[in-house]
Amino acid sequence: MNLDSRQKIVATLAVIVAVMMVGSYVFVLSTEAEEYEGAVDAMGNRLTFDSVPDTIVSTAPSVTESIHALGYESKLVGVSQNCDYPQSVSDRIDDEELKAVGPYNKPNKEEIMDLEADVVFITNTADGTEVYNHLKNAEEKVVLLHQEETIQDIYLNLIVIAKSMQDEDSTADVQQDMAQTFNEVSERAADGGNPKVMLNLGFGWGMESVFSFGSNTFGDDVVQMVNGTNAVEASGFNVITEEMLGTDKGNPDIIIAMVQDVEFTQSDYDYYMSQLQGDPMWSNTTAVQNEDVYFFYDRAASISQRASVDLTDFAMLSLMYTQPQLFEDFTPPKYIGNDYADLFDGHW
Amino acid sequence: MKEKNDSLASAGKARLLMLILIGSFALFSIFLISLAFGPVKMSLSEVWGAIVNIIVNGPQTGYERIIYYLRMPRVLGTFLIGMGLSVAGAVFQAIIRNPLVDPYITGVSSGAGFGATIAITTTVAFTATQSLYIIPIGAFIGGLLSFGLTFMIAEGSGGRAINYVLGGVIVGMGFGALTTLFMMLSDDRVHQILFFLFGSFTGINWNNLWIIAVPILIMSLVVLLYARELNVILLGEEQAKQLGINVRRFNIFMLVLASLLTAFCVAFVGIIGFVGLIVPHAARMVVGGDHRLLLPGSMVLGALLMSVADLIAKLAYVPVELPVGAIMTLIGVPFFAYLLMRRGKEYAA
Repeated sequence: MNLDSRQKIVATLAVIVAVMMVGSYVFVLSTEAEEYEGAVDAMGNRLTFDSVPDTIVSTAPSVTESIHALGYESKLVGVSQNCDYPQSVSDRIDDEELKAVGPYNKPNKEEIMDLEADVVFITNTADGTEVYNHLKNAEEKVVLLHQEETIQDIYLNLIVIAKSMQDEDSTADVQQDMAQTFNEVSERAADGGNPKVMLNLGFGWGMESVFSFGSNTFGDDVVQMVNGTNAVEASGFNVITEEMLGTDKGNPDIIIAMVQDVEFTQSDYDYYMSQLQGDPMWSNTTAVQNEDVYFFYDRAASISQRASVDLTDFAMLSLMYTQPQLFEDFTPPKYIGNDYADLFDGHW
Repeated sequence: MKEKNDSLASAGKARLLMLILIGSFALFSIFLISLAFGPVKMSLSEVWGAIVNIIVNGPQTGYERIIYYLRMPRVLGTFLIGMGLSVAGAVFQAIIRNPLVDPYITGVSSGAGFGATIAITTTVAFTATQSLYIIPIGAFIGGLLSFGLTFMIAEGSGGRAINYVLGGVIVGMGFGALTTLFMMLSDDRVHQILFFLFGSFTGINWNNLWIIAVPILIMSLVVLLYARELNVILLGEEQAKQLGINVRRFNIFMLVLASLLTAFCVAFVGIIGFVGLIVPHAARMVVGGDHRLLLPGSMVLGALLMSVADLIAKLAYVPVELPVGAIMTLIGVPFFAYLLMRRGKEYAA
């Protein structure tokens, strides 16, 4: 092969490499351009931001917790009056650094607009949609998040929040951590039994008002994750009726009841148990007869009701309560609150 | 006799003029107060400065945006809907010749409530953007549907005023029962349904204000143009016929017009009772029964009463908003009782 031929080959290869490099660069650029196309919210609206938002309003505790997990907590300027986690959020509200913009189920649009935040995250409820509509008309940068019914919705909202903040790396990390924890819970649960579980809400409003996580909810996702069977088959949240409890499938082996109390003592436990044992509907259930009824209060209750990243803690806690035999020297306390994470020590 | 009538008419005109003057001042004051008060507090001077800035530069600051996008359309909405329901009430009372009827007598409210309930319980089938208009559209169609049924029943049973009242009552009861059934079947949306049934101006923005403003203003104007005929109708069918009015056709036209007006009023804000019943009576006590005076008087009083009720509903228990229909009744009852005691002896509905 003479010099000219080799030069031609080298030149040709150089051109090919150059074309590939330029092509790759263009491809990367185009990919980056796609990444910065903004976030598509639950309304199907695409939002773009000229710069990374510096100030955020969150109208729900679950959203605030996700924002905290993604590392943007310092950018919060307004939260719902129900936001109480992390503690720094409560402290900032007390110090009037953070403004409460109404209850999560009825955010106050005037107070939100008054904050002139760079982005407002609103949850997809009836009132939330109405507020979203108003803010959208007022040309506010507002993002309607997806209804958080399942764990997939939590992932989806993390992506929407991160895209709004033009930072998808943090979301990938958080999602990966969540998925790892969920996997670990599932793997450990596979060695256990298959108890019928009922995750109840509404205790304290009277025995006839107790409702439960049914299918197609993140609570149901957790029950399946711990290898349990959800005693409530119906979709969504359902008020428990005598008919439901009367069937074999609906009779729970274990009841985990979420109560709104911030304090819970032995006398509260005794009171609720006496209510259940004295109630003709509940007293016949296996869980009540075997006293396999557990009460989650304060933070332990909120991790189970808020569809946020801390649902991982609820999954771990649920496994410990529904399959305690999988954990060495462990007997689940009858009621647990803010100190629930202490139970993880030595077991996870 | 003629001299007495003339003096009554001129007294009525003077009172109307006074009502419009005082009413306009009161409306302007309420307009400013409504812009100033809300969950975010502003002084009247800040509001004034913001209004000037909005006119010159458009809404820029947080205060200006709150005033322009939230408070301004809302207070204008209360004026419009208060006016529309009062005019509709005056028309129904004239055509049906019964002082106890209100704009909802032909079942429009029950139909609208049912339409809204259907829309609320089925909105999962629509995108959220569509659902924002599906509820008002459902309410509007429901209102018209119930009026259509009332119309068919009333015309099928003789077409007299009393047939409309009875037809409206049974259609209203039917739709009311259906609404209750749907509420029971979708308990997760009961709150939203009740919100509509109680009425609220919180959903009013510029977009939907324009949608209702044009038809409400046009239909109210059309009713005003027929004020003389409404006076004649009150004299009785025979006399109206002698004066060249096709009573049957006119009544149907007015009932359709007033029902449409009512349906537009309730579509976006829900069902707000009392105003359409009481305001025409209150206006009659002030300016007399001549519809040329009564209708403008009702418009001013209706706008005034509705805006005051909404202001109270908004501010009485901040940040929670109270149902404007209940507030309307609470302030309307003593107001009407006062008027009744002051002028009741000389008043014939």
